[in-house]
Amino acid sequence: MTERKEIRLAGLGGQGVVLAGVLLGEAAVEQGLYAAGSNSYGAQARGGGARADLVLEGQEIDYPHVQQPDLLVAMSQGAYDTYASGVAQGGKVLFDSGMVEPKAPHDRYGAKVTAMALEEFKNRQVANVVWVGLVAGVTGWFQTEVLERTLVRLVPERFAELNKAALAKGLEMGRAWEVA
Amino acid sequence: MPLTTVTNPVKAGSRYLSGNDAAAEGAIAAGCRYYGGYPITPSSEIMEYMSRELVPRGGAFMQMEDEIASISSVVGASWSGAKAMTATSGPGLSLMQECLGYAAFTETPVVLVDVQRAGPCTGQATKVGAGDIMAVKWGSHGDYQVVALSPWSVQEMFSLTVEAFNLAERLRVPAFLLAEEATGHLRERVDLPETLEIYDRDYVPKQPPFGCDEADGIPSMPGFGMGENLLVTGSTHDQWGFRKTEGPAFHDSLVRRLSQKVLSRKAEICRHEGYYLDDAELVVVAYGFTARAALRAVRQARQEGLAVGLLRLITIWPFDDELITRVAQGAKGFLVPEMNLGQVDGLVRSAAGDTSVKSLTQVNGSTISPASIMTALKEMR
Repeated sequence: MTERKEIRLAGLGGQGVVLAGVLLGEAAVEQGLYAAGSNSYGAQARGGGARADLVLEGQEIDYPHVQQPDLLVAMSQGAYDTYASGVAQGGKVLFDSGMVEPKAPHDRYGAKVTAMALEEFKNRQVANVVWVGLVAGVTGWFQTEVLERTLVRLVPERFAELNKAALAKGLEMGRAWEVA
Repeated sequence: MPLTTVTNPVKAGSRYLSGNDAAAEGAIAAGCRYYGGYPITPSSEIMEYMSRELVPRGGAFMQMEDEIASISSVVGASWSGAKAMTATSGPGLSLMQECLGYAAFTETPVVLVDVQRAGPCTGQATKVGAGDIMAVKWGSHGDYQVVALSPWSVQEMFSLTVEAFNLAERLRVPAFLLAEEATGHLRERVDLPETLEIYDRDYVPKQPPFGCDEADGIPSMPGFGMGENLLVTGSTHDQWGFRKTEGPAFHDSLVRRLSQKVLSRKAEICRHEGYYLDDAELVVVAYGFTARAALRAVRQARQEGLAVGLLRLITIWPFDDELITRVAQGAKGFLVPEMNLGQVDGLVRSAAGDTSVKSLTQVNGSTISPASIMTALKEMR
């Protein structure tokens, strides 16, 4: 990937939006790309709106803020309502279909990620890592082994295996989406 | 002592860092051994980083009771021989002004990182602004000079912090990293070097610490505990530090030298970057984060066939008015976008001669977009 790409992850405080953004940014840099990430969140730690923006490019990034994301991950209805209309033409909107009612018929990338994390991993906090896998799987912009390494570096050691499994699940789902 | 090349003590290579962390690493790389501070959004991550990393590296860290004490402790640490810094934001900067004047008048090398937020007063603590341009230069009373550098990237949060230390030590002045929330909280790829050029303060034993023969001279700087009879005062003093609060000649020559030692070295201190300036009819003069939106806008405008360029100011103080005058000779108009109500605009105007100057101001707590700059450029044609 050499062309400028913009990713926006949006949801609620406590969903791990910021960590997911840092994870993708660190992995991109380890892959040799340029990355610029900025976050926006309310004063409250949980329940308010949270957003992590990421710009990727093969060369130095001039303007580091997201303008029209090529990929939006909407983890809450509020995030979908606020940002879905700002996605670039031909861009993708991924959403948690357990929490978001999409309004545009072309938004077909829905998955019950939070419910699945709870059911499959008994831990809703790994939902953000499933999303990271989904983003990587559906875009093909990230190298699996680099993501895995970065993940292990960023999460507490005792949760490493759990997070790796969540990443693998997301990747598998994302790749299937792209085939479909 | 000239610049020496040292091995970068922090991890070199490509990394993904926040601007505030990069500034803290830059300080450590420059040889900072004292941090005294009081946390304030959006600069607090610098203090957090220093609280973890400075002591293991042989330095000292102190959380003070407020910003007045913070900068006072930094001045004291500097006179004990340590490269010293603090970081703050607008409200803290206001509290530091008295001691900033003390640092300037006693020729104390100190580095201040000001991560600007939307002011005045408490304003919007988590939102971006660039309203401290004049405050860092004119906030304390009397005539004095400081150095202020304006980073536009996380890379420069590192490299310009190193440069701020080098200039502070070399010129014996307060040096600012005049950052903005948008850069302090930006995470970005940096490529940190294996080696760095570092300036360690000049000290010649038994030399007068506050004077020299040249009208723009920078005296040798001893420290407490080095065997000198050292007297540091904020009152007018002679070259050995004795108070001279009556003699007009002492005050006149001291005040003039404190300004001249910076102004006569502008050619070495002032840095800028030019983009597409060769045939530019309209030139955006920008600094800090806004310059990145400006570069994006200028590139877009070029694609549309507009003859526009970007002059990016890296050094804000001392202000490079000769540079503005030089670029003005080839340009029809300047556009000065700023996250304040036109603080650098006034400086550009005073140096632009007949070239027209348009000010684009935004003080709503968010960054200026490339689209706003593009619109303003089109209105100027």
